[in-house]
Amino acid sequence: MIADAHSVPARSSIQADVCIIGGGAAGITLALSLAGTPLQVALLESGGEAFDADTQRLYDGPVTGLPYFPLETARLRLLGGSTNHWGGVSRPFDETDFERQDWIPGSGWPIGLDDVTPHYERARELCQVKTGDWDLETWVDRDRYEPFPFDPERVVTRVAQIVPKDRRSFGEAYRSDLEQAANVTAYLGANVTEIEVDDDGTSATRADVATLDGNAFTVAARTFVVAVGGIENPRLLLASNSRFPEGLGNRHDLVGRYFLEHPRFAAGVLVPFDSHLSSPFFYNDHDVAGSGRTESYLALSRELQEAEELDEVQIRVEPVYQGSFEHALDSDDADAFRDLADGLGDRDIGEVGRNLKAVAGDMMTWQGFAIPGLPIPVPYPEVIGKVVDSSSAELEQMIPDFLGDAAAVAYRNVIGTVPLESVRLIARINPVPNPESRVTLSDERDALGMPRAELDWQLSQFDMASVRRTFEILGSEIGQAGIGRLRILVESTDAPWPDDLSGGWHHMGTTRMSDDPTKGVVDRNLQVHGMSNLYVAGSSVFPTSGSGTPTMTLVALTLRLAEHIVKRMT
Amino acid sequence: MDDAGLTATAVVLSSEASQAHEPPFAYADAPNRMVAYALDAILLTVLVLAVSIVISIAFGPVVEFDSDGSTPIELNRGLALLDVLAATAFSLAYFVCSWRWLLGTPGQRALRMRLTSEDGTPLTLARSIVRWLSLGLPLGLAGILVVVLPGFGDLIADLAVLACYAVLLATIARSPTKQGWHDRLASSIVVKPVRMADRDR
Repeated sequence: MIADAHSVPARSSIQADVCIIGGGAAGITLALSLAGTPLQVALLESGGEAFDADTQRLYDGPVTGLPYFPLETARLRLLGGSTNHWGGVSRPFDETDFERQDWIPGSGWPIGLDDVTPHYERARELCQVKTGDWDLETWVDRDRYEPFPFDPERVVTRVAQIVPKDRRSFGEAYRSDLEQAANVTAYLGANVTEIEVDDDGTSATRADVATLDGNAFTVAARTFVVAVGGIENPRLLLASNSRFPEGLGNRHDLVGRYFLEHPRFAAGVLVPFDSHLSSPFFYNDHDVAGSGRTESYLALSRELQEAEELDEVQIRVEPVYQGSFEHALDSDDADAFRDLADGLGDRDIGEVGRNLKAVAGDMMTWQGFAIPGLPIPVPYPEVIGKVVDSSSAELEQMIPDFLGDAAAVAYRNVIGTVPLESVRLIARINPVPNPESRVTLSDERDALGMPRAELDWQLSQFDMASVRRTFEILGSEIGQAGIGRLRILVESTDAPWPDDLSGGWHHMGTTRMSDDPTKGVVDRNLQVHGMSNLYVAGSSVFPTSGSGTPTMTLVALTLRLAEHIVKRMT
Repeated sequence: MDDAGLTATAVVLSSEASQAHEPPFAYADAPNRMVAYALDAILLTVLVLAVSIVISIAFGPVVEFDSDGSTPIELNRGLALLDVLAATAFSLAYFVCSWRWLLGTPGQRALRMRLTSEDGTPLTLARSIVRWLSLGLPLGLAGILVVVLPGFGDLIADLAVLACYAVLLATIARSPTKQGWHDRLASSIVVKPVRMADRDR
């Protein structure tokens, strides 16, 4: 059931078997997995079902170190958490992601792919990813495009699937399941300000809850799971310090350290010999013959990465179109057209109406170039003259200007390619775990009196060197394949981080997993070292960032945690 | 048969007369009138295109292209408005003069149709103008909307014109005398002589 924390009697104590702190992907997954068991579950979610600016401001906090998104925009604080602005790109981790790589300090998970694989199928269903087939050949067979013809022993292509926009929010998708789960109560508007512990600090006893309108109560439970995200997880553990100043699970000063992202920036430009080269479209957000949308990327083969002793660097391929196509294919009207073409799905009528209006207006573009007031539309003389004088290549470039952005999308989808100016290659790094990259507590306090999180994002020069070397190899492959010329934008292995460096809103590593309490905050079962009944769920437990995207894997890990909790407590 | 003769043989279009006399004509139905309008539209478009060329030569291009000649960067809305006004003025002249002095537009005459008052006499100038206001003016107003409210406004204008014409055709089709609402406003009628062989069926 779903309850309002504002209505809970003040200073009361709710009793539960399991207290889940956070109603995002991990928290909701855990709650649904425990539904129907004999365990009484209390889920505490700070936000409500809709965005609230005051609640969102609780996420605000200073950013030092490398430039990063404002903390109150990089995540969302409502039911469903950051899945409410999730990009939907999904791919599981592979075997190598879990293995130790000797040239990358801090790499290696205490579990392997075998431990997670049993849960990936259910994770895929929960994330609403269309198919569990990740084999490249399957996608090549279905697709009208083909990947770059590189030597697969050196450069590989990996496929990620994109969950449709209207299915990404866990809050929207699973609200009714939460409501119907008899043994689960989700309290909305419930902000946990501290987890209290017993005298020796080995057992969590209760969660202190406050609402923004001043209500306060506690939740006592046999087991607590912190699932509030990669920045908020360490914040809560560090802020639970009224008995032990270092916070919870922080005996070895590891909570908040090793903050990981998937940093990205434009690292190269491919100028193709053939402006109608179609391979870039294989990589770039498109529909694949009824199988849904995909986004693929390049990477060095694992063998080559090992031989060169590099970070894994994935390469996103972004076509830059010639002329007016460049703006048209990325415009809001083009997005509206694609959304309509995706079908109505569960979109609300307002959104469908807005898309229809945008596309209808866009499809009237041609009328701006026809003599108005006539029963038969005929172009202005200048336009007729221009068309008559133009070559077929020039005419092709006029399509967005004269017919609109939706026509440009339709043209690309039907013809299969549009003229390319170049191809922008974006490096997306799996960085070396860096203990100096960290989340700490700020001196500033939020509206509930809780210290804010402060992010000091750091990377290593090894990460930049890995990008440079990866692109050198890629350039060689491009030359060998006779595709074009690569201009590498990273000038040297110790080049400074460029202005377009950004993250992917992936917050990982800050309560990393290790069987050794001097190297990790949680063990292989996500239990906080030194605590008998406190667990952490979410991507903060990742020791490394992985080649896939975090959501499916964090959901799979949470399913594994649920299994562990049920086994332990029932 | 000259126009006067045709007029003379056209009976008074009262319900009693139409019952008392077998007419040598038929009321021109909606399909015939649509085809005639299509022919007129083509002719009018060619004429207006020629005027638009003259406007461009005299005042400059309506659409200007980028310096490299690719992207159209500017629509001169003033000149576009001039084009609309010219198109509207030509439409007015074309239709009004045709109805008043030629007993039908070139398109109607090509299909052997005649447009007269209900009593068979030529339509007066005033009624010709009234008739055009209900037929040609919506298109002109839509053209102005297209220039001043590009984008979604175009769609509204187009839909309004389509609705207008749909109503027009429907009123023609449903009228026993094939008079659309513009005919009723102007007290006009469009007829088409029947062939002797058709009369004998």
